[in-house]
Amino acid sequence: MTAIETALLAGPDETVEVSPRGRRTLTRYLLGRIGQGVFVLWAAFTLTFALLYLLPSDPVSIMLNIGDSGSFADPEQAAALRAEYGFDRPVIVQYWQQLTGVLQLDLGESIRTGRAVTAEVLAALPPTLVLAGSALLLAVILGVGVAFLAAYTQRDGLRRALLMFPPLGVSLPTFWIGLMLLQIFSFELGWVPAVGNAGLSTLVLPMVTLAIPTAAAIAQVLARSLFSVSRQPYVQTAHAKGLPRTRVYGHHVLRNAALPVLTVLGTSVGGLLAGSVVTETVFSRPGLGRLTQTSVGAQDIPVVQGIVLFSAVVFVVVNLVVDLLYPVLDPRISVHDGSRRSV
Amino acid sequence: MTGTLEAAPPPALQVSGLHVRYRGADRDAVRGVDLTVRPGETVALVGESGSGKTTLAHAVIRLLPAGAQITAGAVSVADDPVLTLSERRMRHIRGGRIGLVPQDPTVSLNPVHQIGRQLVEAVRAHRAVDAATARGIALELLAQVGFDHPEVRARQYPHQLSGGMRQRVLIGIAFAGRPDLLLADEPTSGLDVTVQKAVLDQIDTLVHERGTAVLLVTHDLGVAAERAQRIVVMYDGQVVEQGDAAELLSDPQHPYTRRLLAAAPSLRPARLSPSTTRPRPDTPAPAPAAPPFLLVDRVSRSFPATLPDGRRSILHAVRDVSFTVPAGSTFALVGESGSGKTTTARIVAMHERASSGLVRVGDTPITGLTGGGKRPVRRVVQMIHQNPFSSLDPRWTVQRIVAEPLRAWRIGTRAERTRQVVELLDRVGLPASVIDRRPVELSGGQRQRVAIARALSIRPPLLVLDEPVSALDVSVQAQVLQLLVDLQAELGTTYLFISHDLAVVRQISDAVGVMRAGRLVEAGPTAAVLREPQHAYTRALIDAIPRPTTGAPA
Repeated sequence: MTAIETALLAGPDETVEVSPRGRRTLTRYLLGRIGQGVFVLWAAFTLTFALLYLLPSDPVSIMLNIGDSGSFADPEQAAALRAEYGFDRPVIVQYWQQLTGVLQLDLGESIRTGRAVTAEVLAALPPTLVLAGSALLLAVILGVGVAFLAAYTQRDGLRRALLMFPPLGVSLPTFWIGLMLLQIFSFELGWVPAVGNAGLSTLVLPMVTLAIPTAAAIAQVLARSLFSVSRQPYVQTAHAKGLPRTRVYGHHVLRNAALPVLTVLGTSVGGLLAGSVVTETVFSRPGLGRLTQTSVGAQDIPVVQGIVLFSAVVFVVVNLVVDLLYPVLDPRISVHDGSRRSV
Repeated sequence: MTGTLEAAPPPALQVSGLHVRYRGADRDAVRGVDLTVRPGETVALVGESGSGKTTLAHAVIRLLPAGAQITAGAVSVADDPVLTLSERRMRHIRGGRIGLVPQDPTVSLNPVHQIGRQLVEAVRAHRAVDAATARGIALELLAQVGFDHPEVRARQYPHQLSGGMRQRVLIGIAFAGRPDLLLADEPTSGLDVTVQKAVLDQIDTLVHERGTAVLLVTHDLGVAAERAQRIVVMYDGQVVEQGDAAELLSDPQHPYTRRLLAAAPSLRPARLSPSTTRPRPDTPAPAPAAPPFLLVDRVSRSFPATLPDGRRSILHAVRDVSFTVPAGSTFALVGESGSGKTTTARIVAMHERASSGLVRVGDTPITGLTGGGKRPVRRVVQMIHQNPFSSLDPRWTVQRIVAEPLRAWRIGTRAERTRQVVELLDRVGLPASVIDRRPVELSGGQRQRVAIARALSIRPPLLVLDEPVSALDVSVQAQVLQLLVDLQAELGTTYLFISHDLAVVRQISDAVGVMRAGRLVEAGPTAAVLREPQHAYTRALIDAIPRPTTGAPA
């Protein structure tokens, strides 16, 4: 049992004597969390290395087959390439070389194009950032809007109608949503172009496609949270003060119900990255998703590894930010123990 | 009073013929209630859980839970017909004409906002003042409800305050809109007795200063008698009796009122004697000079702990506590939250280790025992917990719960155990029909009886009771206490009884020890300690027992 558990179990039935020794600071907490993040990145790298090493594919033969499919490579040429890329050395040496390379932000070169992996990823990043960022924004607006309205309204019919959407949005596959939107708005109505990356008009459909699953997840979690918070005694206190319903819900209920949504947001970043693979493919947009799809198809191992590492970085950073936001939203949570104190 | 109605100002609250029904229920929770609170008057609404008193209070301010419907009747506050007002107009009634002091202060303040902000919001809902003025009023309110350094306190969050402090904040919020009527719904449940008294005194002071009328909802007739000029008794959704407080107490008409009166611990100072209805078996009452069965000698307990802000500290939960309990008698430990009484009880029940000192049960020292050595002693000491709602496995039947200790000790065959369970249930006053039910199907009092039956199943000579009645209504409290007294007379069990309430303790214990900040500050025979308390804290505890204000007008 940890000391804090002992203190909690001991409950209020105690007297406290404080010795001013060892104050854990925010800096120390941050350093610890960054250490954890580095460990996660190392684990992600090692895992992809092991997986790709075990896959029954040979990067050298892939390189040699590009362009002239069917022709068999010259064994000498293959051996030379193998030596150049270090594939002939023991696995532990290959691992060490790649790891030191990663530490210097050198992820090797793409087998397919010969360009540096970092350059490939950075080039693919901007359109995906625009797409994922706008989709996240739309998802928050839609999700919070539906959930809040469902909790706020006093009409049972409207509430029931609103609450039908989130389960639907969670269960529809992204590619199907994308194809349906294309069918209706591009081919039938002709409102927006079907493919490409030419400004806002081509952004709308992919953005909506990518936003719907996340919006639905936010709405589901937030609606449940709002309903349970609205039954709390402190909400009755707020009503009893004579506050308008908008203020009771906007000021008291929403703020308390927001915490679980923050957790959903942290994990949905992963969903957005995964969704961008499907969305960018369906709408023929350039970006990280498309790069992933092409690289996996071409067994371009260094690029795949680079994308995995990049996604891991995004995940670690986003979750650190989320954890740091908890105490801002709820004063009962302190960053020192990361848990909600007994109330 | 109808004769003087033309001349007098309208009543602060008038409820007539009110009916409230919950969706799916086959009858109304409130059935035709008439009630009047005159300006400046304090009226107590008394009844047990489920009597409809809280439903009535919520109907008055129109904050009934979803699914509850007012089906008939009228409510007026001063001249406003509450039930027909629009939501917009109703906002001015809530907080502006009626202030609500809610039931449980620990969950009634918004945990993510500073208390100052929550007060300011209540002020601004009803007064057209700018932010700075509102803040000034809020700080003034904090000072009025007994906070030192209001400007510092205003920046604190609810979790940084004790339950009593939070209730003071809520009282401040209730008064922020300068209401004519205060609706206090069990305002002290869950608070220590000394804090209860302070909170009620605070309400009294503000009410007298401002001439506010009060509807005080409570299950404790003792509290009602001390605080109200008139008492309204509710039972099963109806008002069964109402009248002047002193008259109602001295000459109760309805049998239910008489039952409540008999149950109120504060109105019944003597120790309970075993009821004569039950045949006494051959176990004789213990001789007064019996040797101590439980010996607690200079016991201390401290915990190393890390405070939430990261600092290391040492909690001295219990310091140097010594007492003895003769076989077959009851020793009560009294104190507020944080006094160390529960830790002491847990050490005796071997749920907690002592840092130093000796505990002996019978001839066995139990303080040094570890692991398997403890097991034989568990047959000698059993514990009953405060909350019967969480100390019984919700998935188990009563049969399985009560038979578990028997099974654990391999006592009897399956058939014999079933027979014993029926016997035990009968002994604790439960019908045999509950044997197949699960805890959720039982009332709080019934559950505590099941917990007692379970503890008694292996006939332990020592029972540790940790606040066994404080989660129960007073009327149910009285029944459970009577049961404990009867069982002790029958079985000769020794009790270590933990409570925060001297009014309860004097009904059951032969001797009492008063704990404060981990130390035993006073101990002795209950009657002597109550008659001549030596320690200031004991006197405060005695003061906290409500006393009827015999017929004193406002």
